[in-house]
Amino acid sequence: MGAHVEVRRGIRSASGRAELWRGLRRRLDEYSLTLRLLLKRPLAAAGLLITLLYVGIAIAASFLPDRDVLQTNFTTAYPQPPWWWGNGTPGSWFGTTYPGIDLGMAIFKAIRIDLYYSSIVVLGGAIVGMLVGLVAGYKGGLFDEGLMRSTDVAYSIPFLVFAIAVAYVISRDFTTLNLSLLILWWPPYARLVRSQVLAVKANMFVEAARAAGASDLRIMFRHILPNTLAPVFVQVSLDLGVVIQIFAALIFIGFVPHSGYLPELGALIFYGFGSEPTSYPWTILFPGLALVIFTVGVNLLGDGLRDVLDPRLRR
Amino acid sequence: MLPSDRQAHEILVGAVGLKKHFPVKGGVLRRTIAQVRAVDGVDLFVRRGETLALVGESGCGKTTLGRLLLRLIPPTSGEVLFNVPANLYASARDRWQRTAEEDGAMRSPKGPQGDGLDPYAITRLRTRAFKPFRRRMQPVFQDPFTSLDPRMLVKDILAEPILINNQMTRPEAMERVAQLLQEVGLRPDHLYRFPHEFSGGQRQRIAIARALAPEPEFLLLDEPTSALDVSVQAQILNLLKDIQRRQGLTYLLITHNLSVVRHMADRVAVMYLGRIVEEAPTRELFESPLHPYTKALLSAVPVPDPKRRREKILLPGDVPSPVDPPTGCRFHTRCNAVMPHCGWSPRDAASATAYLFDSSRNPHASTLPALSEVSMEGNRLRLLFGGSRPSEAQRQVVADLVRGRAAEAGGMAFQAIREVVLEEGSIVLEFPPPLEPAWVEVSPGHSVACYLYPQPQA
Amino acid sequence: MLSVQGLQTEFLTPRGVIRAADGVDFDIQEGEVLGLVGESGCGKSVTALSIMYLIPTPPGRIASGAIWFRGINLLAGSENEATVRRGLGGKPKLVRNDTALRRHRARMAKIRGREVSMIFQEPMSSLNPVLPVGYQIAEVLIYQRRKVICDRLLARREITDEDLELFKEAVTHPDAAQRERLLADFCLQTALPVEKVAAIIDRSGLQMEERLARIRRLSERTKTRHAWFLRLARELDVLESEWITREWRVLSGVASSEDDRRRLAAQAQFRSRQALFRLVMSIPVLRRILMRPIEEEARRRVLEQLKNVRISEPHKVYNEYPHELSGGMQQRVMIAMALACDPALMIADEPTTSLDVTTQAQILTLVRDLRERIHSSILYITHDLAVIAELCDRVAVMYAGKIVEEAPVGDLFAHPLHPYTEGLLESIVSLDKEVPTDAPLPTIAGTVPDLLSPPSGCRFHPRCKYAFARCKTEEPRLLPQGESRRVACFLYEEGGSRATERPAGA
Ligand SMILES: Nc1ncnc2c1ncn2[C@@H]1O[C@H](COP(=O)(O)OP(=O)(O)OP(=O)(O)O)[C@@H](O)[C@H]1O
Ligand SMILES: Nc1ncnc2c1ncn2[C@@H]1O[C@H](COP(=O)(O)OP(=O)(O)O)[C@@H](O)[C@H]1O
Ligand code: SF4
Ligand code: SF4
Ligand SMILES: [Mg+2]
Ligand SMILES: [Mg+2]
Repeated sequence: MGAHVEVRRGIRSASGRAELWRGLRRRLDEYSLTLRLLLKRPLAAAGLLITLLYVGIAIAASFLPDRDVLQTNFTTAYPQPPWWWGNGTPGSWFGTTYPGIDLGMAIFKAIRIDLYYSSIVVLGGAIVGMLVGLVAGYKGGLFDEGLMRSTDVAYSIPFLVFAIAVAYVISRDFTTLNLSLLILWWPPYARLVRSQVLAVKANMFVEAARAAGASDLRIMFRHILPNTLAPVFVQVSLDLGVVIQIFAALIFIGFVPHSGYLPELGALIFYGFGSEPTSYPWTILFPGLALVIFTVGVNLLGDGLRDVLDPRLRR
Repeated sequence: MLPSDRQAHEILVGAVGLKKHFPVKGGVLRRTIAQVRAVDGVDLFVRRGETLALVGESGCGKTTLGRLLLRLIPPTSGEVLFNVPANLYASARDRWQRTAEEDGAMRSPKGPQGDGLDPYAITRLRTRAFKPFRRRMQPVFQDPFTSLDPRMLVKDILAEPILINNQMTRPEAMERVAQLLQEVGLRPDHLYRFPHEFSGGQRQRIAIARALAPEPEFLLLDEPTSALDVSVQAQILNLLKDIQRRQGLTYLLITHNLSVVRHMADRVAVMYLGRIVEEAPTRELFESPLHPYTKALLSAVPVPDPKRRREKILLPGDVPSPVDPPTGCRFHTRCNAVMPHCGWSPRDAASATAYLFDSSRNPHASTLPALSEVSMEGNRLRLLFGGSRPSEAQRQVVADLVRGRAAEAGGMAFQAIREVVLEEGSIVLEFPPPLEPAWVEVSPGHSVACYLYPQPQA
Repeated sequence: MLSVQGLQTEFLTPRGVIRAADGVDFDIQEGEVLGLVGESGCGKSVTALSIMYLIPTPPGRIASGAIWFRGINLLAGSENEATVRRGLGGKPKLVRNDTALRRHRARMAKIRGREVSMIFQEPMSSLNPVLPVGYQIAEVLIYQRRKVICDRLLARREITDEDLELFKEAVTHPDAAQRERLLADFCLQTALPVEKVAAIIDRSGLQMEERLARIRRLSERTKTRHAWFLRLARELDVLESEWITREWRVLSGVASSEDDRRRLAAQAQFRSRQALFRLVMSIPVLRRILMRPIEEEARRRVLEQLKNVRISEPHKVYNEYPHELSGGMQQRVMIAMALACDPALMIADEPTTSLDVTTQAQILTLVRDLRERIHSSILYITHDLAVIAELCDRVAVMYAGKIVEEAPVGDLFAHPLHPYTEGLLESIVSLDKEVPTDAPLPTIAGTVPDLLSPPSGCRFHPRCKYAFARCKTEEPRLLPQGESRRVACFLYEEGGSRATERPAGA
């Protein structure tokens, strides 16, 4: 039998780098193939575009000075229409809303805040859920049993009621709202990942890895997890739309009291309603549109991803 | 590292009294409601450098046995020995059989036992201590489509076992990987591809390369060609043979294709419902099979020549459920050479009794009272006749009916009935206690478990 | 009986056009078993699916060819269903004509299962996982064999003393096999459900009087009711078949004047009855009451069919879900399903490839028996030549989308003509072939070509040891060799080195 080779680590020859580089390039090829397939679908491409646009806006908005957004003009407390809306205000693309805030800037800022908080909930939920689902599906046994029961419980609670109740008891602010949503957001991910893990675990490559001496951690994170990610991506993009709507709805009904002005889509719609929407329709039209377009966009992207990531469609 | 490692012993892998029972969960509380006896008492050894073939029908426990030998799953009982001298293996087997007879429900010992087998028994090792053994026994699986991780490049698939076992540095591993790929007949530029870019035959080559990567001594080949085309099958078999000759590997070849066995194996073990029923050198098994099941298996192989038709022994029905295997010789429900003492039990006779002892149906049973219930109690079959107590004369009628049925075709189960007794207002048919046929060595290296061959005197 | 001529089936994939069947030609005679062999991916399944008209569209379509089955062309009227257009950037795109497709599918649905049926490679994938298997077969029967079922139900009558005598014998006959047979006879005569009769017989501790009383009650309960509905259902079936067959003849261009006249009349009659039938069916309560006897009769036939494929406990298996059955059982259920309607042609796509030898032997014996019993023709697809040798009368060898050789099975094995066939035969690992254990098995060098870009000329030339210059540029045609064989290889054409050799069987 072949001699055992002494372990020498830390030497990375030029050929070693070349090998890593070539492997990386091959992987990038694979990702770009996914992207190309996605872009071939007009609806999915539109969804991707919208999502990227919103992310871009959110990033850009964090560089805008606060002053510009507020631009409160108390001399004209009534909302002003945009310039193209019959006798509109020149220079203002989206008009202003009560009490004299520039609506365009406000929506930009609102997108940033909404995207930020909903990403925390969704990504946080996805990561926690993924870890729990991975361990539960892989190890099975009591832990798995416990997890399944707790997700059953989580499923049976209407999340709006729960979020309201928790925040009511603790404190009615954004952070609490976030945390309470997070508590209810991970169990579906845990279930999703768990069922995927059970399917992937049955593949013989897992057994082969174990036979080669791979540890449980290695098998879980290196072999199983990457094979369960596709549906998680899909779910994340679908959920982003849902969570943004929940935020907007909760704030619209005035659940999170905010002293003064809050650049958030729900709040903006709320201001619009407060200012006689029949006479100033743009005050609710634009924030509402911003919300709807985003939801539609992430949904299109999610559906596209579902199709593209399905391995049966790859070749 | 075990002390046994310093020497190469004759038997590379040996199993004694190996059992694996999988629990069947059911009900609301997910309690264990039954046990699937996938492997149920197997003694098997593979000599260093040889190919042992394991054949048997689907579901008889071949894969499970392979997984047990590689310690991919823990056994319910029994031990797996690695690199062990032949005499030690034989004595371990005898000892295990003796203890198993005395104490039916024994478990695999954990930790050192001080009985001379400690240096060889890998089932006694803790997970950590077992790790160095992993790389020495590698599997190749049947389905090349699920046995390669779809998200890894071929180079990573092949390098993983080497790097996990700290055998080489990464650049060295890469060189070895390229060389391995050549060894199995692929090109180095295949390294940077994903598994889905290959055909079934090529994937199987990659799976073989992966198994060879950590320089194992023992390969478990679990139906390596049954998912492949005939022409590709020949290529893979040639490759496996070639590798064995070059590297002196030991193979356990699991398959249900007997033509492949003939071409590849030195010895063959035939498995039925979790037990080994026959074991012989290949040529001898094909020329003079002893066990009726082996004969049936051999006759079922299709002949690629339209002019010749082999007489087929068709096995009736499906393989019985391993949850509740037949008593006595497990093959008796399908055997064409079956005898009265092969392990018949009330189960086999129950359905016929409903007609036989029913006075309203069977004219010969008209003197019996109306039959109300037939119940099974171990190796006894109880006939209840409503409220009435059967008399001695009626017992005699039942005994005659049993004798008459036994003489008819398909009445073998009734031949096995030892006694008909009157008991507590019912009539009981007694069967002999079911015993499995002993494992007898008929000629050197050729053993069989069947009552057709002389049993050792108890 | 079945004649496939120049069949071309293609798939438009993102990577290009795959022509999976590229001019496939073969015939099957009445009562014959034709084997179709070839390596995986050579287009065997695609050929079978084309005959059944089950090619998924898109991405696939039947580009050209004719499939004549008992005087009609199964592809007639399907020409415009899917056409290829050049889309943006010159990429070919499949354009589907949904109306035409739907109409042709409806026509095919009446042939499929009734005249031609198929056993699929993966039994699991063609059985519905959430329905009991027996129920699935019964559904096929109710759809395809309504006429026969209704006829039998209409034939039900009062039970007579003679029937009861037969029943008594079925209860008391000393021989178990004879009892079974008597039971079957009794049920055939009286059209009573077998299961229920069997339950009455097997119950122990019943006096004969009681048994007879139960049978009378059973007969009372199952007396024919709603005969008008049965007649309606029967008429519907008869008219639909008539209409479709005649229309198909017209489409195939072989219609008689009678066909032309009756076609529209039958269609009109069918439509009017269909309206009534649909109306009745749309009321759940009525539907349940009226369909019950039909369902029960279908169930009886399914149980009989399950017994025919040697399933030992048909009642138990009837109610089981596909995943609860072993591979061999699943495949037997598939065969039962394929045979349920006594088809004239059965297509078996690798029915035993995933099974072990003993089960395979059982299934092969089963297929052979069935063939003797119902005299249907069989197209048997496999990659295992040994199975072909055991079962088939004639063999067609397929390579990369084309038939390369066709011959009676004895001749093919005794004297293969095409170099590919030769290679296949050599590479068989056989029990009887004494290979010196150390010599490698002979193999065919190289790998199966990618159908996306098949080799030029003879598709086998990169792997062929006899290839010469002409093979790389020109494509050999499938030409007759002797009386009963055909081969596509230049070696046998004018100027080829084996042109003068007299092949066996010529
Ligand atoms: N993890 C498990 N849990 C429960 N039952 C199992 C498990 N693994 C295997 N079995 C059962 O054990 C028996 C033997 O299975 P095994 O896979 O070893 O058969 P096999 O001989 O390899 O069959 P094949 O030829 O189909 O591969 C079968 O009845 C199977 O259903
Ligand atoms: N639905 C489909 N889409 C695209 N290509 C297909 C499809 N079905 C079959 N093919 C291609 O057609 C060719 C022949 O396949 P098939 O007839 O299934 O082979 P086999 O001879 O093994 O039965 C293969 O190259 C396969 O990839
Ligand atoms: S002991 Fe032998 S003869 Fe008896 S049933 Fe078993 S295999 Fe058949
Ligand atoms: S035509 Fe030429 S390449 Fe093709 S099979 Fe015949 S000899 Fe070989
Ligand atoms: Mg197996
Ligand atoms: Mg196929």
